[in-house]
Amino acid sequence: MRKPIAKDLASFLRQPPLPRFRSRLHDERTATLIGTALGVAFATAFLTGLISHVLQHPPGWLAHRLPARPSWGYRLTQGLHVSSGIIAIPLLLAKLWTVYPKLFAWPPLKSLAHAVERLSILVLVAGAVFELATGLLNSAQWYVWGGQFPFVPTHYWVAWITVGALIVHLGVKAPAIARGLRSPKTELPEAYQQIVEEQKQGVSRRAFVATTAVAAGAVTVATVGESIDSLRPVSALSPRDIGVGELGVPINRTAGQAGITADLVTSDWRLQVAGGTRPLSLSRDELAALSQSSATLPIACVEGWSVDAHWEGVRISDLMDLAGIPHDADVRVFSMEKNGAYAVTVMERQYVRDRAALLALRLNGRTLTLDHGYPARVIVPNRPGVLQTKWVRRMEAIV
Amino acid sequence: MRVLRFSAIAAGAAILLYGAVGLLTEPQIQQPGNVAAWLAGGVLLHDAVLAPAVFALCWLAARHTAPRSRRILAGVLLVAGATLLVAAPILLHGRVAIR
Repeated sequence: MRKPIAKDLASFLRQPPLPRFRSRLHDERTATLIGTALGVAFATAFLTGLISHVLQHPPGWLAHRLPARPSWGYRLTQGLHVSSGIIAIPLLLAKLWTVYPKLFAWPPLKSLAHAVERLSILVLVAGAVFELATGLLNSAQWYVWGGQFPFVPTHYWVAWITVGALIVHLGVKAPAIARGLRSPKTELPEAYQQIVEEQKQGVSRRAFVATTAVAAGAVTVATVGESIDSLRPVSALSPRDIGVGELGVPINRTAGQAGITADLVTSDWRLQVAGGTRPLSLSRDELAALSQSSATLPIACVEGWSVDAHWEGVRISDLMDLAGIPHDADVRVFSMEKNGAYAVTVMERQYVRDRAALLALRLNGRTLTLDHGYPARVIVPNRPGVLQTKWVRRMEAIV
Repeated sequence: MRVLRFSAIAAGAAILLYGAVGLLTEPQIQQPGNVAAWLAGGVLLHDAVLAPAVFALCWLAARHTAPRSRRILAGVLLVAGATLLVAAPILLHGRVAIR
């Protein structure tokens, strides 16, 4: 009796009853076509993500090389970052659907090289799913992971891991990609056979790839209105409805959340400008009595939304001149906010001296509201929203 | 081609390692184990829940639909599924509440 069992076991191990996938769409060509689009989306998200990271945490050697122009630069790159991530969601799912049968390849590990390759794919899939999921949830400001990990550094480091695994994957799969990019043969008998096959199966490769493209386009149009004004009416699913908000601009962090109470902004409030040859202490009326400038600049948030707005106030460059602060000085900006990672920030000299950079007192023709940073706030071209400090109390030259 | 492939693999491995070391040594990330759990959870959620559900749907559709309607059904489900997934945070959590 023993022998048959051993035999059964041997044949079971040789070919266990794993799921079988009959569709022709699990082939190299489909995987390559969708994979190429996915690769472009990931490269875009990675590069624009790096730009955002550097703008928020500039390394010393780069701090003074970051350009203050174009003023819409961050609006564009961060809009692209979030959009390329969203577009990658249907592309990644279609790609994983195409290659899913490989999960059941038998034997599971053929050699050491094969084991390493499968491990790199595990890392790639884990990183890709993690980045897209956490990014999408962050754009909706829904932190389901609670205190388990901080979003910004985790999203940043896992991006490096994912892109590393992606480059390994491209190296490993180069021959398959080269085959997949070549147009399939169109000899008559095979082409004829293909048509017959397609009629039998219903969904052709062309239909599958086209449908994936339509899905990618649909999710883009449904969400991109939070960065492109003219698409707002059709973008019913964008995480942020930019059509609402005091004075026509959404608010990410209210005065209440920042610990700003009415007693902090009474008529006693004064702006201190220190570190120059003529230290200043100005009330809001005194600020409003200085020469006023105006600028149309966007608020562009790390979460992806952005809107253009009209700002009026004192040109920061003029204010620094008045305080006798030299042209090559960076400025430290202090907010009255109590809790927050951006209560004290550094504004490098290229932003300080930009003609459009304002200490704004008015927004879209009206006095700032408390939630928008009353009594005075910073608005500077080409910087992330978190660095557009609200409730400013002190500006200090770094010497 | 061979040299190019191997340098890509080596460069990719180095970048991956840089990210892994960065993740493990980042002072703000106090428990990297949590991140690992979420990374593994995402793979499990896709490979063991979402994908089997989709393939079960494919199998059912292949049995019970004619080729012509199958093509339309596949298209509608793919586009609707992707849109629903992308909209999930605002459907479940609402649009960003702070106005």
